[in-house]
Amino acid sequence: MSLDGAITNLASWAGNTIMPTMAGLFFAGAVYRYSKGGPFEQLLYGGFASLLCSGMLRTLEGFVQHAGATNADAFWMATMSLVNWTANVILPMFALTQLAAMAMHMAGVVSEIYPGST
Amino acid sequence: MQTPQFLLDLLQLLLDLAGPAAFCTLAAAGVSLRHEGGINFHVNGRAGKWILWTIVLLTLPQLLSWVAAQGINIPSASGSVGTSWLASMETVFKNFVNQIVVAKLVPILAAYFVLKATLDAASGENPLGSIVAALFLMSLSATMQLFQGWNSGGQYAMTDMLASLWNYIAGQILPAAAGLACVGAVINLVRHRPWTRLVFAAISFLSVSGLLSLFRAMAA
Repeated sequence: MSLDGAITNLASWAGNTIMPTMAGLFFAGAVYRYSKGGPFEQLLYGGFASLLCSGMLRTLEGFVQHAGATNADAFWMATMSLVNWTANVILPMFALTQLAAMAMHMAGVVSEIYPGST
Repeated sequence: MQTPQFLLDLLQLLLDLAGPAAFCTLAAAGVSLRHEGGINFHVNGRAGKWILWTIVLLTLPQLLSWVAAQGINIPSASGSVGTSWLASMETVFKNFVNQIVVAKLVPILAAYFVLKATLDAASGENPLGSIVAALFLMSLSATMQLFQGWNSGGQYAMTDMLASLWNYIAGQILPAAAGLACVGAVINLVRHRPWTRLVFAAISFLSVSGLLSLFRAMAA
C-alpha cells in the first residue's frame, strides 16, 4: 500500500462513507433545533454539504482544470471560476429560496406551523 | 599504493548498510512528522532532515561518483565483504532492520499513532495528524520502493530524487489532501468555525504546480 493510495482511501472513506452518515445526524439535529424554534439552517446546509463532499471536490477540480493544473494562472482562474459560480449559480438559487420563503410567509404557512407560534 | 583489503571491506560494509539505514531514517521521519503536527512539516525540521538523510543514503554511490568525477580518488568497493566478521556484522544489521524494525517495530508504532488519533479526537484536537503519521509508517516499505525507483543512477541522483519527491507530493498526495480539505470545510461549517480557508486550501492543493509556475514567472 502506497502513501498516496492510503491518503486517497482516507479521503474517500471520509467523504463517501462517514460524511453521508453524518448528514443524517446533521439533519436530525436540524429537525430538533427547528422543533425548539432555534436556528437550524447551519445544520441543514451542513447536512446537504455532507452529501456533496465528492461533488464539491470534483467542482474544485473542474475550476482548477480551466487553465490547466500546471498553468501559472491555475489558481487565479480557479478563484475566478469559484467567484463566478458563487455569484451566478449559488446566489440566484439562494434568491429563489428567499422568494419561496417570502411567498410562504405571505401565505401565513410558516407562521402557522412554526413551533411556538400562536 | 594498494588499498588494504580491510578498508575496502569496511567501505563495502558501509555502502551495503546504507539501504537498511535508509529504512530507519524513513521510519524516524514518520515519527518526526507527527511531532511536527502530522499534516505539515517545519522548515529545517526533523522530518525534513530525516527524509533528506534517507535520500542521501539511497543515492550514496551516485554522490560518490560525483565526488570522483571532480578528480578525487575514491577506492572502488569490492562488491562483497570478504572479512568474515564484517560480513556477519552486515548480516546481523540487515536482519535486525528487516525482522525487527520493518516487520515488527514500525507496524506497532503505526498502531500507537492510531491510538493517539482516538485520544486526540477525545481531547478535542484534530486527529488527522496522527492518522497521516500512522499511514506514513504503514506504507513505509512501498514508500522505500518508490524512493528507490526514483534513483536516476546519475551523478545528480540525489537532487533528481528530491525533484521526484516534490512531484509525488504535488501530483499524488495533495490532490487527495484536497478531498480531505473539502470534508474539513463541511465539518467546520457545521461547527461554526472558519471554513472558507479550507476551500481555498483545496484549490491551492490542486493547483500547487501552477503556483510554482506562477512564482517562477514572477522571479524571471
